[in-house]
Amino acid sequence: MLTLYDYELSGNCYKIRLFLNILELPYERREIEFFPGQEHKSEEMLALNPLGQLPVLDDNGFILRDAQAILTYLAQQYAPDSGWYPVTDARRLAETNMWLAFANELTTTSSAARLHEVFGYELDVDKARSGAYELFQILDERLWFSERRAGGWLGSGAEPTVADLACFPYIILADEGGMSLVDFPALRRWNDRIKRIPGFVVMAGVFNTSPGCECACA
Amino acid sequence: MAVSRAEQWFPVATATDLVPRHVFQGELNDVELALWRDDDGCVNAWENRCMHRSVRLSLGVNTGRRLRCQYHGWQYRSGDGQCVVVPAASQTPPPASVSARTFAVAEQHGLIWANLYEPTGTPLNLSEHWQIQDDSQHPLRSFVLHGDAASVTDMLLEYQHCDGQLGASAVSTQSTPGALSLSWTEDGQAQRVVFMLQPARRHKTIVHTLLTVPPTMNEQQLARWELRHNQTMNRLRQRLVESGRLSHMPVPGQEFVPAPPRESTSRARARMFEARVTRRYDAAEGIVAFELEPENEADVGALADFMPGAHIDVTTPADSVRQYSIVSLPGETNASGGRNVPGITLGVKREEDSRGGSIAMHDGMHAGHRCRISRPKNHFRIANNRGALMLAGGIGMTPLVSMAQYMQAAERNYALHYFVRSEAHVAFVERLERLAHYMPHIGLSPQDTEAQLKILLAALDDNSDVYVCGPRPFLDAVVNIAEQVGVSNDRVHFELFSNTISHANDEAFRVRLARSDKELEVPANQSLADVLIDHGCAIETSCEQGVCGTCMVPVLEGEVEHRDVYLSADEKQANSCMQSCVSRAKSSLLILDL
Amino acid sequence: MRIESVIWDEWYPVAIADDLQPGRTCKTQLLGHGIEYGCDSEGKLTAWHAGKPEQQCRTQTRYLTHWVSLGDPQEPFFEVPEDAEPDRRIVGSGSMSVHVSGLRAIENFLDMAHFPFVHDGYLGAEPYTDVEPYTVTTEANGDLYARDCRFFQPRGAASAEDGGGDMEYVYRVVRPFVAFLYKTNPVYPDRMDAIGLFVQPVSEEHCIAHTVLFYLDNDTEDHGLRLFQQTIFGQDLMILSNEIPRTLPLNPGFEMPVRADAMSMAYRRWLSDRGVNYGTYRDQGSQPLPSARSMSRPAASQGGA
Repeated sequence: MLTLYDYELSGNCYKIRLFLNILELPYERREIEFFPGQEHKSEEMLALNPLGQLPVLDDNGFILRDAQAILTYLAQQYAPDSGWYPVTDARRLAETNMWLAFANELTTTSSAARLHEVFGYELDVDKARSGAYELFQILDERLWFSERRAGGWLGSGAEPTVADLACFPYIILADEGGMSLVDFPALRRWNDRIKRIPGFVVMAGVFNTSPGCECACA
Repeated sequence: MAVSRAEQWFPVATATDLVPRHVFQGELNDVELALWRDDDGCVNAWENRCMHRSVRLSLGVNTGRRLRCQYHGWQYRSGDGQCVVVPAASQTPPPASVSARTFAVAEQHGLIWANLYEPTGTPLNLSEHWQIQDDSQHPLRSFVLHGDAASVTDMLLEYQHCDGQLGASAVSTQSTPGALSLSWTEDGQAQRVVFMLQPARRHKTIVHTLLTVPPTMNEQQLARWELRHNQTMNRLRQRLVESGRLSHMPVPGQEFVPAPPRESTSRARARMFEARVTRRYDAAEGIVAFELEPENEADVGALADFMPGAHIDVTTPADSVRQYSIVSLPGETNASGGRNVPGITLGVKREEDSRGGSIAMHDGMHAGHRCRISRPKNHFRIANNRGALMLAGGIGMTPLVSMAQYMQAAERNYALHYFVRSEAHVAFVERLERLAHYMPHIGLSPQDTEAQLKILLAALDDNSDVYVCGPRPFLDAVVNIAEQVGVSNDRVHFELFSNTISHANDEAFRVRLARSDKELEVPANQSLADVLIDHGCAIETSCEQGVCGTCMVPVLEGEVEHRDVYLSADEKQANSCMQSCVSRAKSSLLILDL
Repeated sequence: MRIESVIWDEWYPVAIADDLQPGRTCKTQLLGHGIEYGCDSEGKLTAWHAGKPEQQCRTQTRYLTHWVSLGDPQEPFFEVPEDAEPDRRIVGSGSMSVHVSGLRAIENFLDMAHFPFVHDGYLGAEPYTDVEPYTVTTEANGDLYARDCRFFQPRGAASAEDGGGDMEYVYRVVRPFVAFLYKTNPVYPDRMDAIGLFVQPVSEEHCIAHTVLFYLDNDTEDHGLRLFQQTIFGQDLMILSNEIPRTLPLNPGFEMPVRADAMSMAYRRWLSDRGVNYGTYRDQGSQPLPSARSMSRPAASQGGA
């Protein structure tokens, strides 16, 4: 049985719920009040994750922290042939790992800005925002070229990987961090593509989009 | 040379930015835009703000024909931006006054252009302006530079120095306000890039770049150009930021700037567009069918989205405006048009004693004729999810046939009863024959008609409503009989060309305007506000539902029947004012301080 | 800008009492002014202008909430009768900041029509989108009420895990930045759960929403109640951050109401009648909402053509 130590408003937790839903994996949700309860810093949670961070996954006693690591584990353990984590293609695997690391950068910038803006965390929000904007620019450029010469995803394949899911939450939640995506149109189109992946689910603050064009005409 | 603001067309996106079922967030002169393409490919440029609570429309959803706001699900249709669905009141058509703030938009040279004012000019045309062929332009990646448009134009002259291959080659430049062209020769080939500037905000300019593509250029070379341009612009941006000439980041906390107000005449003009009669035929004795479709590419989707029961305004050859109901279903394409564009079919009965609208239509509208029409208006529509007993009298069958076809396609419970003078007067037989639940009643006397209506209404099942359209005596008969047999009036829906608030049991009353010493009649099917406006009173209306308080008028004498939700109970009691869009009179005369 | 007395001389929440650790000094803003505050081991609150401990502010702690005033409040503190009922649980459910005027946050709180679109699967679901008519009244003490509100909810409260039903609501506005929602309790048909939304106007365009529950619900732990409310508010957050302008327009015609908005229109008029300016949108040519009073003096009104 999979157990996810989870907080609704956390983007890093959301990406795990999103992927579990895409893979149609049942799981038990343990809600941990991140704010203002600070339950992720409780003794019980520190025993599971000494870093005091969410999410944490418990797969029948196998305890794993770090959202990106959990994504790759779920892909390889439960959907090894799906292409979500392309281990048999050295280049695509490397690209996926590269963008997974990029997702961590988003946590220290875009997510940090949101922590300040919504939960009142005291941190250098201008630095967080300008760091986030630099990352958005890099992503937007990659996606503009990917739309033309590849599948419109972060990697070079025709299908998305766990890296797309890993980067998605703190992009789509940018507004809540006091940032705008108006200057990053390719990023906004990619948001729509993610929303059309079968099995997509929302979190608080993320909304569904319409089905793609082939289903047409209301 | 000063350019009048009406001529100020600016690029706001590349054509490929507007992918299907997406809402693009844009900016022009500090005004935020929601740009979207409908399923027919038509582009909309709207203020990025839902008229209801000002939530960004770019947070919402492009459903193919409509844009749906994320906050309350209001749906605005492509083209005129008319709000067609307010889910909180799903059974009443939204007031005609509710529409998105639309802007003129055009697609040219692979770019989307918009104009925030009432446009008279056209977007910059390269073949006219610089003799550059239109079909050879390829948009490269657009760049956001955090500086004003004038200084960005100067900065672009440094493009050459940031391009790794161009170096010190001789580059000739041409410029015009908002555009700059660089051309040079490379490996014996003529090369040209054109920059088109979008003044997004006071300190933000977006540079769109068009590459002139010679016929010999292959896909690989083009891909190399895309990379080269991207690199050059990145270098240029970095250089400008490092030298302090451009800001690195967006200016934070950008203020909201409302769209320029609509010019008063533009609203009426925007609501009419040119259509062409693609076919005309006799639908029955005295009834002519007209198949219409939009004449211009820009209006291609204009007749695609309506709810069965809708009508349009038509400017007749006699230059009068008349309303005719649509008999076809939304999305039908007229075979006669040959363009595969959504069109509509109208049925027009020749009324010899009318003021001449129908005669002008019959005598003057032929296949190929062009006329100005409005987009579909939906005062009459299927009101809910229940079944429908449809009662049609004569030419009143037109909206009901559209509704019946819709109900059949949706596999819902309905029956259409058509009361008609003779077999020869039965119109649109081919449509009627496809209906599974259609019953004609031919040549009945008024007494027999009433008897038949009584049978039908008495047998009405609890899960169905009544829809009626026809001449006034027919309509009155249905309303009276329904009341006799105990069908409550909120289950009887009819076409009266008035919206939102049921006027089913309204009575006419009179108003005297104390200051201007006029006395006016407010008929049963018209609001006080409409009558006052028709007689030149400077009354403004907004929500047309008695919610917003805009159309309040002062009352001196007479008893008001308050139907609004704006005034408090005490204020209603005081009887000193009323909301003229919905409220009426309990007394036969009201005296207003107007 | 001078802030009008109706806003300045008023109490504002700065923290839920349970969330403030004794001995810690916190910084925040109120009406654009930096303040610092903290409580002692007894829970007694002190607050002062930022960097000037000698300039103390008025404070008090009520309804599980720490309140501060920069001015000189004249009116008695508003009453919450539910606070005195011994079988109610009073639970703070968090404080979240939003980049929007606090007036817009209150207006959103008073609105049912957004439930199926913003709180899909929680407080509403398509196709149950219609808002039935309800009654809006102003009481003698000035409180604004919406009564007889009904709305279909698939999962109206943390305890209603399975199946939905029609929920009944009462809304109450007591101060420009303070409102209550009362809703059906499945266990006590004749009583209602209450939720207080206490908004701290940080600036004209920023606010912090503090939520306090006065609940009869005995089955769900505090933990579940808090998380449910946080999810609901998290859903509103994205919408509220995307309202432009961020301030609330009071002039009619700038935004278009429908009949379901009777309460929000009444709230706007209620603010307008009190002369509230802070946190409102003031565009060129903006006019106050028409009032019946101006109409009753014919000399003051402008006649038509």
